[in-house]
Amino acid sequence: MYLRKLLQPFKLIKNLYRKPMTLVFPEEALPPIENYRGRQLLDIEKCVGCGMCSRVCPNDAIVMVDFEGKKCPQIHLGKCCFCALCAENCPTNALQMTGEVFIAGYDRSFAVFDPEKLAKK
Amino acid sequence: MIDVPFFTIPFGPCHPSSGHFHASITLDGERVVELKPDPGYLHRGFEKLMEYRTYLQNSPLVDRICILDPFHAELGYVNAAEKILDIEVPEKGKFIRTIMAELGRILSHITWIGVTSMVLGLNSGCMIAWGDREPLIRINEKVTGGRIYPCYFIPGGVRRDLPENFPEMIDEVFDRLEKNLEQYDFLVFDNETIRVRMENVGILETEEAIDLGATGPNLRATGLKADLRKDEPYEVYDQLDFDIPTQKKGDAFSRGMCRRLEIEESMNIIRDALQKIPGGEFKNKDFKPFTKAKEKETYFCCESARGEQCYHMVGDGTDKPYRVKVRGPSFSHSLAEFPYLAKNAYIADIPAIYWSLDPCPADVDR
Amino acid sequence: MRDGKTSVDLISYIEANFGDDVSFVYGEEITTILVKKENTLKVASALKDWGFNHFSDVTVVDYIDEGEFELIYHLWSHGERKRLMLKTRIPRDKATIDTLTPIWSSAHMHERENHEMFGIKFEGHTDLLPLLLEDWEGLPPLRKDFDSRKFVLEEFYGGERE
Repeated sequence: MYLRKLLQPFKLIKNLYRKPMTLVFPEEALPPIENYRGRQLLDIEKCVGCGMCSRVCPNDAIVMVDFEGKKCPQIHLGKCCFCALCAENCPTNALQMTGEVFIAGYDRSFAVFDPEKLAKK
Repeated sequence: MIDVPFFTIPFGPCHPSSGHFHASITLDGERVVELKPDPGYLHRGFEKLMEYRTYLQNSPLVDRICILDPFHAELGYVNAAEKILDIEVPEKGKFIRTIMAELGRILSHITWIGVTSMVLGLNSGCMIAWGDREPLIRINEKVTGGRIYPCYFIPGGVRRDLPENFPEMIDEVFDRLEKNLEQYDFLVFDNETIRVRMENVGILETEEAIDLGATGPNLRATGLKADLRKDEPYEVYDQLDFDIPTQKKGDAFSRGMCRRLEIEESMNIIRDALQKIPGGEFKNKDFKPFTKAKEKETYFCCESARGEQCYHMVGDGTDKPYRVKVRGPSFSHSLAEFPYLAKNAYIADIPAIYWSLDPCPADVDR
Repeated sequence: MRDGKTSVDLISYIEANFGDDVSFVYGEEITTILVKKENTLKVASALKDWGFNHFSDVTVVDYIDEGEFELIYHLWSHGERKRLMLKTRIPRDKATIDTLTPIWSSAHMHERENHEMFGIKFEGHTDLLPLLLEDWEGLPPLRKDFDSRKFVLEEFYGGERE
């Protein structure tokens, strides 16, 4: 019993040969997953301007603005909580969530995404 | 003789072993005379916020109440809302909800092992626990789309279906987790220093525990077999086969052993449910974003990782709730049991007592 | 267990001891009884003798159109596995009621929180101090005539949305 306890620390030597659990960012990043709730992507041809995304949003982050003759959503990503209720309730599937998570800027006005910026990949 | 008066120190919000919680301790030498808890650093006003949003818009809001176990906070809200809205849930939806809720329980208990060993000085326990959480969080990401906040349960079912290779993913992760549990036994639960610091510290008897409002593993460690999954079954727990671990002594170490044994029971529940899961629909299509409720009120309790989480909801015929009251499990633990157990204890035992009760300061304040 | 029926022993015990002071509310899944404000302490201690040893919560609902607060006490019995809701009503402009701390110790902190959020005074309570908010002077925040959206716009944004 005591001999077993004395010899136990030698078990830890095999930890020297194990791979670490961490990754060195940014050279090795986690691979993106397809169903992730990241930034939104808009398809302007499919959008009909119904306003359903703006009514369902829990934080009032979506406002409909005029763009190329019809109404399209403008999203304030500072207020968005990335819950994907807007993309799920869109009747024509014009708004979808992508796996892009690296959205950062130097100024607060960077966070307002008008329809043209939302349509860019 | 020199007469030294009592002095007061803060067990403050910026202390590495207290979380976001403040208590002021009055000391006589090394013994505690009185402890006054002072919550309120995480008060965000959820009960008032929920009165301005519809039933569907509240579901991303509800899993931010307790960050360490968000699945059970959503489960309680969704079950209470379904009673007011009068909607049925298909069988497959109930099975998926049970599986994800037990996954949340395993995540919460592994976090407890990590934080408690860090607070008592053993930093490697914390690093290994955080590495063990990672495969479970990746499962969460593949099923729900988010790492920590799932936003997955809605009134009527769940939002998306389980992916095709879900049973294989679970088998791979659980095989690794069972091997790692032996490592926790070697490092944390059989460790002489941690046993000496946690045994015979903070002893609670059954009568006192019920009077002070204890629920969950804190009550089961005193010897009473009380679990809402068996006493008042909800979802599909009456069709599954599992056991409830109890301990006899009621000190801080028994509370920890209760949580360690519950991890294995949760793995058995998930494996059992995956064999019995039926096919069919996963959500009720009658629930639209602006459905109106009946004029009813209801009270629903579920057994989360920390204790009893309850929701009292009043509906008034419109699409927004009239009143929602959330009762977190840590409300009685940190505000009633902690001052009682800390009387006449040494000041060096206070972190061990506090973290053995598994508090979540976000639950206390909402 | 939630099977829709109420236990016969519980109903007959309550009717035998209290008669007209207590009335039952039908149509609910959980057994619900309605008492007058003066009889709360008497009924609560008899319920504890029957076996309701766990005090879960006390909830307050603000019915501003009727001018009343409704207080609901949630009780659970570990031995018999039964749940009960004890309801009472108090007027809104004179909101006082006896405290239940001598019967269950866990009621102490729940009543302190409801005092801060709704402005109800619990007589006999030793420690009615603010719990969650700090330096708050004004209407108790969870009442229905306090508009939190208007308060946030005026205090933090100067009256306009961003």
